Amino acid sequence: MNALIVVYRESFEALLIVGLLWSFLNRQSADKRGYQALLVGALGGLVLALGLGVFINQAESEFEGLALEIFQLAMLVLAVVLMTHMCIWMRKHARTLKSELESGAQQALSTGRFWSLTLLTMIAVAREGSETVIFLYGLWMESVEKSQTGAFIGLSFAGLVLGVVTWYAFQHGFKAFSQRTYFTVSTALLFVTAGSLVVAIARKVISLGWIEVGTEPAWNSEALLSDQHPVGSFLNLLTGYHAQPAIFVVLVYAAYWAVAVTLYRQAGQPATVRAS
Amino acid sequence: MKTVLTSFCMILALMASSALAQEMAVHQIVLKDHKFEPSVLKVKAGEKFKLEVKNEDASTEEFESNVLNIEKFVGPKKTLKLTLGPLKPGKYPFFGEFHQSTANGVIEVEE
Repeated sequence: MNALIVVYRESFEALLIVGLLWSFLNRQSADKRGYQALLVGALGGLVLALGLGVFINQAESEFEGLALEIFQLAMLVLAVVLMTHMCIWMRKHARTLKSELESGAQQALSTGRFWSLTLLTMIAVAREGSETVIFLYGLWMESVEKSQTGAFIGLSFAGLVLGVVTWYAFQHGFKAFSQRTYFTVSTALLFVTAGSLVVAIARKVISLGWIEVGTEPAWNSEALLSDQHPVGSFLNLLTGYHAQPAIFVVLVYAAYWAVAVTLYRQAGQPATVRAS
Repeated sequence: MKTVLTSFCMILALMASSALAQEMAVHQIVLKDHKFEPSVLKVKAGEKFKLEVKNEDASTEEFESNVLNIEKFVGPKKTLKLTLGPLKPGKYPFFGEFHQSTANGVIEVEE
């Protein structure tokens, strides 16, 4: 059963980010290069996930452990920057892209944009994928011992299928929305997901021992909604919710939203002026 | 002269590290068959301590504690070394992310 749950959760997390990017492209009827960028990113992410998985399993020394954590931290920071930047870029160009397309002009997605699409997909897939690789490898070893390899493959495959189905339902739900609502909702989702990565970053900083103040919980909402509760763990997956978040984590999270909202507002201003 | 200085420094460093080691209590938790032993670990409040998580299973586990902000891999037959605290009295649950149904435990911090 563990195989099903872990694969499901990890594949859904990766698909959430990749899926949002994909539907952004879809909505804007972007040219082929956008999808190619996603595909290259996904494949690169799988390779990186395998490499990371093997490295984590083999890591002996504390130095290797530290190097790995710093690498993961850098990946997270890069993902947050890319996602935030992408939301703001979309906000700026949502209208111009559409009108350019309608007037038959060649769409001008710069090469840099494709690179960030590729990188972001790669990180999303590698981050969730490496955990899956490590977990499945361990489980595989055990199922070989107990000769339950059939159940193992079946359950992990079922997990993956469930992940894809959930994501598809999620995406399909979007179709009912108008173009405008769609952009608002998916941008909000991207920001929320970036926020959950910010929580992961702040927690990593604490666990690396780089900060010693503000590590105690800011509050305790365990009785209200615990991390283990199905709703709590879904919120944790989507938003980074914790029942007892450290003060430092809360502050960093609040700071991220303050910066993100300010940048987003600024990006929206010229567009509103033009429209009026 | 250089060698004398170096060895002097090394002795100083050794003394400092052994003094630190004496002050800090070391607690060990063993993970076997996806269960923590001991599953309840009693620790004194207000003191830093070392926690060693020894994984005797054949698979990698992710040692996690939401309250303590820990999320670290422990490879098969490997030991994770952490420095924790000082903590306030209370209960600090931890678990193995990959086997949450069996791999559970709590650090009880007492005065």
